[in-house]
Amino acid sequence: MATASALEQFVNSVRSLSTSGSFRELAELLPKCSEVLTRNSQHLDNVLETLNVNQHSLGILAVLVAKFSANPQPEQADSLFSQFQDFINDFNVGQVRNATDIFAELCHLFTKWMVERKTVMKGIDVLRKAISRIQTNEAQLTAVHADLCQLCLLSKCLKPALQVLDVDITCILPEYDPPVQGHQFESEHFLRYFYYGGMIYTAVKQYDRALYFYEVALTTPAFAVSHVMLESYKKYILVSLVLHGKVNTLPKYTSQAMMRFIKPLSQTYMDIANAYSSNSITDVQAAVNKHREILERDNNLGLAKQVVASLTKKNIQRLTKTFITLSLSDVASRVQLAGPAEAESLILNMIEDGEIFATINQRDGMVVFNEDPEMYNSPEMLHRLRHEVTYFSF
Amino acid sequence: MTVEDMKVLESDLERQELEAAGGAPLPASVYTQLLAVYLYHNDLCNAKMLWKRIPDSAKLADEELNAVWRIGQRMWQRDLYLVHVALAQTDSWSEPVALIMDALKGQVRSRALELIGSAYSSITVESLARLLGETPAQALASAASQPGWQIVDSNMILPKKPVPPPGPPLTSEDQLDKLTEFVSFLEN
Repeated sequence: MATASALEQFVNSVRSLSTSGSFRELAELLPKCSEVLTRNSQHLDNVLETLNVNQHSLGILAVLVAKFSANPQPEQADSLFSQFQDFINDFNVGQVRNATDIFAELCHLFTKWMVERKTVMKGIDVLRKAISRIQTNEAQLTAVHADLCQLCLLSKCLKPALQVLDVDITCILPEYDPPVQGHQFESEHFLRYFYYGGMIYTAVKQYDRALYFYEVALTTPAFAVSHVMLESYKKYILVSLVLHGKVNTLPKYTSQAMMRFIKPLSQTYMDIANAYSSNSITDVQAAVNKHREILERDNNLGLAKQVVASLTKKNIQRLTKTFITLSLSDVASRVQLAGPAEAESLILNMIEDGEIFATINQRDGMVVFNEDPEMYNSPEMLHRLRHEVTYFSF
Repeated sequence: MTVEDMKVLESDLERQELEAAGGAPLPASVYTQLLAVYLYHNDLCNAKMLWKRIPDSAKLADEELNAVWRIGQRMWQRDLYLVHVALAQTDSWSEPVALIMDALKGQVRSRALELIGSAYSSITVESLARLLGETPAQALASAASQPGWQIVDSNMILPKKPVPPPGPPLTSEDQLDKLTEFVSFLEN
C-alpha cells in the first residue's frame, strides 16, 4: 500500500543514512517526512520498535514529534510519556545536535501537552535531563530552558528551576541553519526564559537577581514591544520599588521602540511609582486600591502589596539619616504605624534581615541607629572580594 | 540530627516528591517532613510553595501536616510569640517528624536569642519571656545562662552582642601563596 511503503521508505532512509553517518542529510530530510509520519500516526508505535534509540536517534526524534503533534489520546498518555522519557535518557547526543531545532520543537510540544493535561510536575525531571544532555556547557541557553521554567512555575516547585537559573548564561545553543519556519531559536524563548526566571526569583524573594533577569528581557534588541517585554517591565517597576525605592532608568542600550512605547502602555505602574516617590503610605495605598482590578488581572496584586510594605521600611531607613536616636513612639508617628509596639517589632524584623543597624533600648523606649559595623578589613571580606573578582574575569 | 543530616534529608525528600509526581500520591508524612525541614532552614518561601502544591486530599486527611503548616504561617508573619504558642500546641509528633521538630524548636530558640543579643541593649523580662515562649522565671534563667548578659533590678536584662563565629581558617600556605602573588605583581 502506498502509505505503508512511504513509511517503510522513511525507516529505510533513516537506517541507511544513520549507518553511513550522514546525519546532516538525515536532519535535512526529516522535516520533509513529517507529513508522512502524521498521516500514519497509528503505525508509529511499530516504527518506534524497529528503530534503535542509540543508532537512529534522529529517526525516533521525528517520530516522536509526529506523535505529539497528532493530538495524542489520554489512554496513550503513559506510554507516550515513557517513550519520551526513554528517548531523553538514551538519545545519541552527537546525532541529535545536528537537528537541535527539531529537538527544541519536540520539547515544546511535550511541554504544551503536559500543561494541557495538567500533569506539570512530572515533566520537570525529564526536561532537566534533556537540558543537561543537549547543552555543550553548563552556561549555554537552550530553547528548553524556558519550558522548564514554565513547568516549574505552573507546578509551584521552584527548586529545580533555581538550580538552572543560578548559572549565568554565556552562550546560546545554535539551532539548525537555515531555519525551517518556526524552528529557529526564537527570541520568544529567550524572552520567556528571562521573564519566567525573574518571576521565580521574585517568588523566592531574591529581588536583585529577579531585577537583573527582567532587565535582560527588557534590553533585548527589538523593533516592537512584545507582550513578554511589557509584562517584564511592569514587574520590573514593582520589584525595583521594593528593592531600591525607586524605578531605575533602563540602560542606554535598550532599544528605541522600548523606550518610546513602554511608558504609555504601563501607566498604572508609573502611577504607583510616582505615589511611592512621595513617601506617603496613604498615597501609595490609594494608588494600589484605585488600580486594584488591573493589578489583579496582571497577577501583580501580591507584588503591589509588598511594595506598600516596603515603603514603611524605606521610611524607617530614611530616619537613620536624620536621627541618631529616637523614641519608639516617635518612630511610630513619623512612619504612620499603630504604636510603639508595632514599631519595635518592625525594627526587630529589619535588624534580623540586615536591613538596618540599630539597637533597641526597652528601658527608655528608645532606638539607637548605628553605623554599618562592617569595616571591610577582615580576611573573610578579602576572600570574598577575590572570589567575586575572579568569578567575573574568567 | 546534624546540619548535614538535615541537608541530605531535604534533597532526599525533594527527589521523592519529583519522582512520585504523576504517579501514586505520596504519603502525607513525606510532605510533613519536607515542610518541617524547610521551616528548620528558615526557608519560608519554599515552605509556602510546598504548601500550595500539596494535594488537598493530603491536607484534609493529615492533622500533623496542618499543625506544621500553622507553625509555618506564624513564622511567615514573624511573630515569635505566636510561633512558640503554635509549637507548644502539639506535644507528640510521629516518629520521623519528631526529630525534625525538636531540631526546629532548638533552632527557633537559638535564632531568637541571637537576635535579642544583637538587637537589644536592654529588654524587660516580660518581653524576653514573650520572645522565647517561656515563663518570666524561665526567661531569667535563660538570660543568666547566656555569656555576658547582665540582669539589673530583677526586671531588666542587658543582653550582649553575640561574637560572630570565626571564618574558615586560612592555611599558612594559602597566605604565603597570596603574599607571593601580590609581591610579584608589585615588583613587575
